[in-house]
Formats: sequence, C-alpha cells, structure tokens
Amino acid sequence: MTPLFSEATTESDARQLAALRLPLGAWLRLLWNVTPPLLHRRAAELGEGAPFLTESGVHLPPAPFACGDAAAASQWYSAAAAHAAAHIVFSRRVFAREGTAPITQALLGLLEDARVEALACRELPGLRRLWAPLHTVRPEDGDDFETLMLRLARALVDPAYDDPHPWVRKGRARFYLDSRGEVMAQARPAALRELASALGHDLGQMRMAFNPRTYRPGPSYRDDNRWLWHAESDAASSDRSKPSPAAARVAESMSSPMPPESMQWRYPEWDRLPARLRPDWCTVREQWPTPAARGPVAPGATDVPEDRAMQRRLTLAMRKAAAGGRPSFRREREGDEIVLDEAVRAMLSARSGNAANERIYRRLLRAPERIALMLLIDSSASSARPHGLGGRSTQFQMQQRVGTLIAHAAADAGWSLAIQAFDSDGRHGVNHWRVKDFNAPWGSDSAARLAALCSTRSTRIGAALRHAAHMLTNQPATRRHVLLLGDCEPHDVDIHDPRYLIEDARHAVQTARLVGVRCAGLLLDAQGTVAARRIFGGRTAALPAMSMLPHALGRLLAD
Amino acid sequence: MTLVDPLEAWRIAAEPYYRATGDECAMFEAAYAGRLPVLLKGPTGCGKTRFIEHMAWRLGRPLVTVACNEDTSAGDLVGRWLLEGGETRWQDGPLTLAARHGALCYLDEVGEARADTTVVIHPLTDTRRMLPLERRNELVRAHPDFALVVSYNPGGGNGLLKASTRQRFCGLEFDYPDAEDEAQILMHESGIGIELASALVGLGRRSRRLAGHGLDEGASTRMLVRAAALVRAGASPIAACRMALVAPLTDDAALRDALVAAVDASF
Repeated sequence: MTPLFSEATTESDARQLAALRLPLGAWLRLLWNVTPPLLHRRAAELGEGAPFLTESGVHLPPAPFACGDAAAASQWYSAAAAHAAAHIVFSRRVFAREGTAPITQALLGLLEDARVEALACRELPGLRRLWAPLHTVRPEDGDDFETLMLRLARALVDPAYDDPHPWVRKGRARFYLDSRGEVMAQARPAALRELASALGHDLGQMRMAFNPRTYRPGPSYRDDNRWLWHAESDAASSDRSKPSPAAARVAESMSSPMPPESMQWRYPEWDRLPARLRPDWCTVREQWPTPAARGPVAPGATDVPEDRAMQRRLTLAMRKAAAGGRPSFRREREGDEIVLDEAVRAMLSARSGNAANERIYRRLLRAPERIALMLLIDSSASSARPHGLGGRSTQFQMQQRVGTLIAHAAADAGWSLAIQAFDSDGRHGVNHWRVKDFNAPWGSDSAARLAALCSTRSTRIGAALRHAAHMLTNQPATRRHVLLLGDCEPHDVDIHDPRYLIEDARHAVQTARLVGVRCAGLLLDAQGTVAARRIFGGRTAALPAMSMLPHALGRLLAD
Repeated sequence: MTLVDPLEAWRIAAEPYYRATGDECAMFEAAYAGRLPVLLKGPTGCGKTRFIEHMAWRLGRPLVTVACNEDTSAGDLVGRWLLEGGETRWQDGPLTLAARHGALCYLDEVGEARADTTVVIHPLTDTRRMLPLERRNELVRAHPDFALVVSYNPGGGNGLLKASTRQRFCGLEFDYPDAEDEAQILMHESGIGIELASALVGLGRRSRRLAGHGLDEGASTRMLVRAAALVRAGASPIAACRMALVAPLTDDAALRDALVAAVDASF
C-alpha cells in the first residue's frame, strides 16, 4: 500500500487531478452549462476525506479513494464532479438546520443526493453507468446504521440492486412510484423532508446507533452535503477552502509535462562607445515555465465574443500580410487562359508525330509565403504596471491576452509560430521562457504555460532579439519575423548608460535583417515609443486601443 | 430541330425536405419577385444549402451551385476558352450559364473565394444585371429569371466579405433550429425514433456550449443527421456519435475526452 501522506504520492496525484481539470471543466459545461471552479484540496484535509462544495467551487481531494489505476481514478473524479454539478443544477438549498434532528439531516442529504442523481439521469442516462458501479455495498455487509444508509443509497440509484431489508425497501418504495425507478414520488423538497423524518423515526425504533460527528454520506464520490443547508457555518467552510501556503508550494512544485531541460546560448553585445562587438558577452538560457495549479486554462482563452471577432480580424490581417507573395503563372492541363505559344507548339509537335505537351493553359497562382514568426513577450518587472488610464489589468496581462489572440490567429492563418517570454538579471542571466515551440500546436498546455508567466527582473532586448533571430534562421520558411511585445525600454542591473542597451538592440535588429529576419516592436501604450523607434525604426506600433491591433499587426508583419 | 435545355442537369426533380423555422420562405419569395440578390448567413451545417434547394424547387427554377474555395478563380465562375481538335471553343462557366439561361445561381461559402473572384459578380447584383465576359469580348445580359444567392459563414471559415460586396445583397440569417424542429428534422432525414432523436439533439445543443471555449463551432444539424444515419445503419448511439461528432469536432485531447464523456453520459 502506498503511504497516503508521502510527498511523492501527493504530488503525482495532484498532477493527475491537474491533468483532469480541463476535460472535467469542459465536460461539466457540456452537460449542464455550469463552470464551477474545480479546486484542489489540501493534503492536511485528507483525513476528512470527502469532496465538498462551497460558493468558491468544487473541492476535490488530491488522491481519489481506493482507486487502483489511472482509469479508475479518472472515473472517480468524473463521478464526484458530476455529482457536485448535479447539486449546483438541481438542488435548491431550501433546508434549514434548526429544528431538524441530526438523523433527519443525514437522511435528507441522502435522499437529496438520490433526487439530483435521478434528475440528472433522466436527462443523461449514461451517468447511471458512472455512479452505480461506485455503490458496492451488499446486504451481507451488515445492517448497522452506516451500512444501511449505504444500502439505501444504492437501492435508490441502482435499479438492478434488490435489497431484502424492509427499511431499505420502504425507502425505495416511497421514493419511486414505479418498480423500475423511473418516476420519483417526492417532487417537492417539503415532501422529501417528510420522508426523511419518517425513515429517521423508523431507524430510531430500530435503536440504531448514530454518531453525527463521524457520519459522512457515502459512497466516497458524494460530497458531504454541507452546501445544502442554510449554513450559519458557511463562513467557516469558506475559510477552510482557502489554500494554505503549503498547498500553494505543492502546486508550484508540480513539474510541467515537458522535461525540465535548460539550454544555453552565448551572444555578442554591441558597445556603443568604442563602437565594437563584445564577443560571447551574454548568456541566454531557455527554460520551460511551470504551470501553476490554478483553475483550468482552456486553449480557447478567447471566451469574450469581441476576442473572437478580434481573432478573425487578426487572421485576416495575417493572411493579407502573407498574401504579398509573387504571383506565378503555372502551366496546367486546365486553366483560365490558353497560352497561345504553347498551344501552337503543341499542335506543331502533334502534327509532326511527336508527343504534344498538354500543359497549354495557365492559371494564376500566388505562391503562398511560408512565414515563421517568433513572438517575444517582455516579462520583465516593468510590465507589471497597470495598462492604460485606471486600467484594471496590467501591461503583462494585456500582453498575455494579445499573445493568445496572435497564437490563435497564427494557427488559423497557417503561420509557423513560436512564443517565448524573456527577462534578464545581468548579462549572464537572460532567461527565455518557452511558451510554444514552432512545431508544437497551440493547446491547453501552452496556454497554461503562458498563464503561468509572471513579470519579474529586467529587460535585455538585444540578447533576446539575437536569440530569436538565431532560432528563426533554423526554421524552414520563406519569410521570418520577430515581433517583440512589450514596452521596448531596455534596462538591466549591470548597465548604467541609458543609451547602451538601446544601441545594442538597434544593432541586433540590423544584424538580424542581414540574415533575413525582420524585427518589429509592438507597444501596448505610448510609453517607450522613442526608444522603440530608435531600435526598430519604422516597424514600431503603439496601440492606443485594442481595436487597432489587426491594423498594426498587418503593418508590422508586412513584407 | 430539337431544343436542348442547357439547364436540364440543374433542375430539381423532387421536393427537397426543408422545415421552415420562420418567415424565411416568404421573404425569399419576395426577394426573388424583385430579383434581389440574397446573402444567406449562418453557421456551417444549419441548413442554408437545403433551404436554397427547397426554394429553387418551389419557384420551379433550376439551381446552379458553385462551392467556392480559395482557389476558385474568376475563370471558374464565368468560363474559359477550350481547345478542341485544333479549334478554340468557349465554354460558359456556371455563373454565365445561370445568367444566360435563367437559373438561380448559388455561390456556396463565397467568403472563401479570393477577393478578385467575388468582384466579377458585382455587375450582376445591381440594376445593370449583366455579366461582361472580357476574355470573349461579350456582354451577357441576365435572363429575367436569373437571381444570385450566396452563402457565408460568419463564425468559421477564412474570409470576411468586403463591404462593397456585402452591401449588394439582402440578407437572411440562419441558425440551428429549435430543439423540437431539429428532432423532427433528424427523424425525417434518417428515420430514427423520437427518443434517440431528442438525445442526439440534446447532445448537439450541449456541444454548442463549447463554441468559443475551445471549439470554433458546436455540432451542426448536418452532423447530427449523420450520427442518426449511422445508428440507423446499425451502429450503437455512442459509437455513432464518436464517429460523426467527436472525431470531426476537435483534435485537442482534453476537449475530446470531455466530448467523449458527454456522449457516454447521454445514452
């Protein structure tokens, strides 16, 4: 048996839950159009064990109960999430704890569980195959209070289960009108309450021992029903749901799905006063950002309708920028026009008994440009300032949003795109955070890596541009672009001359141009425009408003 | 002398099934009475093409359909010179054929065609109603029965229509039918029972919730009809939905898992 509390188990289980979060979230939206946050319960609460539901979301334990393999664990998580979501959709929270005997509370919870599951199964019959197998209690397991409750729970959800106990039979007979368990008798919550109190009374007659402190509803996938009650204890429970620092550390230590490899490159730097290159002056290190275990990150982070419209406009702008390719007339067997010279030649060779060339038509084709684009996102500390006047989001959040939009648009427009964020800490500490590689698709994992970035340290633009240009020259493409997204104001801890890094970046842009890589700077506000113009020349754009993005991008990435 | 009807192949013999969801049939007839060009807007697979087939049948006009793609050239629409036995012969393209002899011309997904291609329809869509064939040095005056219809999917696809093109058209907006109508369509098209039809429709509507949340568009009515046809041919509903809905909708592993689980939950 694996030790429950060992660090390794917790971490690998946490990773499993993190991997399930996105499919589970999308699944609940598919089923009932609800999107409760799926939260990761901290290990300290493992002893208590059950999933639970609060205003802040569905809290799932990091390790599922008694699940041997990964398939069973994902089954268990699905069952728990679907049950909790069924509460959100069908439960009305009309019960008050005051004046309700603890045993009635327990029974009411059990009946409400069965009611929401029955309603869910009426709409989605396949859910019964998910829940019923998790009810494994049998009549031989005994007839103490807890087992009887489990037996009743099973009798209410599993039509194939036949329980001989008269109390279980009575519960089932009064819950459903028909023997197949398709028509519920207790439509109203008040009627459910009457049934609960009647069943509780019977249990009292049977002198069953009931301990409200240790009782929790079963089977394990069901939440503890604290959500059902008008709770004076809501404050307490919401307090408990806050992740502890320890849990946050566990989340941070979760490794990314990629190996944590880190690769280094050395680049020269331009020193403006002696006007010469210092060879091998900067060290660039590529790393994978570690996705944090916060909420699910959908690859389509473009939830907002205006973002979808924006994305289409961006795709169009990028298509247009790529369509500048030279038109070529190709000879074809079929086409728009007959090429007279070819036709005459074909007839001549046919009449002189030779094989005729049949390609006598021509068709206008624009050879499509294959464009490789490296999107460099400035993740230095200066990007943490607020965006715009009184803006609620930071520069960096806007950069992430623009990055997501460009990623989607590039995929639609058929561009080969890589995304890296960069920051620096002295000339040997230039970090490139790989969000998306050229040959990788944009998906949930790259979106998670983009979301995991944070703004910190300094901006050494020259080294970043040299590295981007170097990576681009290895890409098969007919055109190569670097787009820098940020405030374009270079700055680093070991440089005090304000013009030094600007001139170095300018030099990097010019040397990149020599090997066919075009660099452009996109600023999200007007700050830093002067430096950006010095670095990128005409390929600079400052966005006064998001709506200008497609136009600006089209201009920056034009041939 | 026998008269050959050049549009014979394009005539619609039997009534195509179409379930109206509003006044679109009456509005289309009104537009046709004035020979106004019509733009059909709507998500893919919601019944735009079926609607125009139905209307062509109702109006008794042949329907010349062109599916546009990004390689569709102006020559593909208006026609071209061919070489035959040492002689050149002009062959009308579908648009010219319809304009000359009086058919409805339907350009499907016109937004996909290149901008220089869509410009050739301009002279046909205003009061001039004519089609200049510059390669043949001919001016074709549109037949009195001719009308132009184009379709366009604002949600997906590549292109957006230029304003100068859009503004020449009246528009009819389409969307996926209501649940009841959609179930009726499924039952009629594939002959399945009402229970399966409602389950499929429910699944289709669920999948549309993911539009914009990872999917470009949800499952279309056409996909649901396909799933129903697979069930009719003996497949289990779950296998049919995986084949007809899940596989075509997404390549993203997480979304596929979610869709598969939703299919499992639905039957």
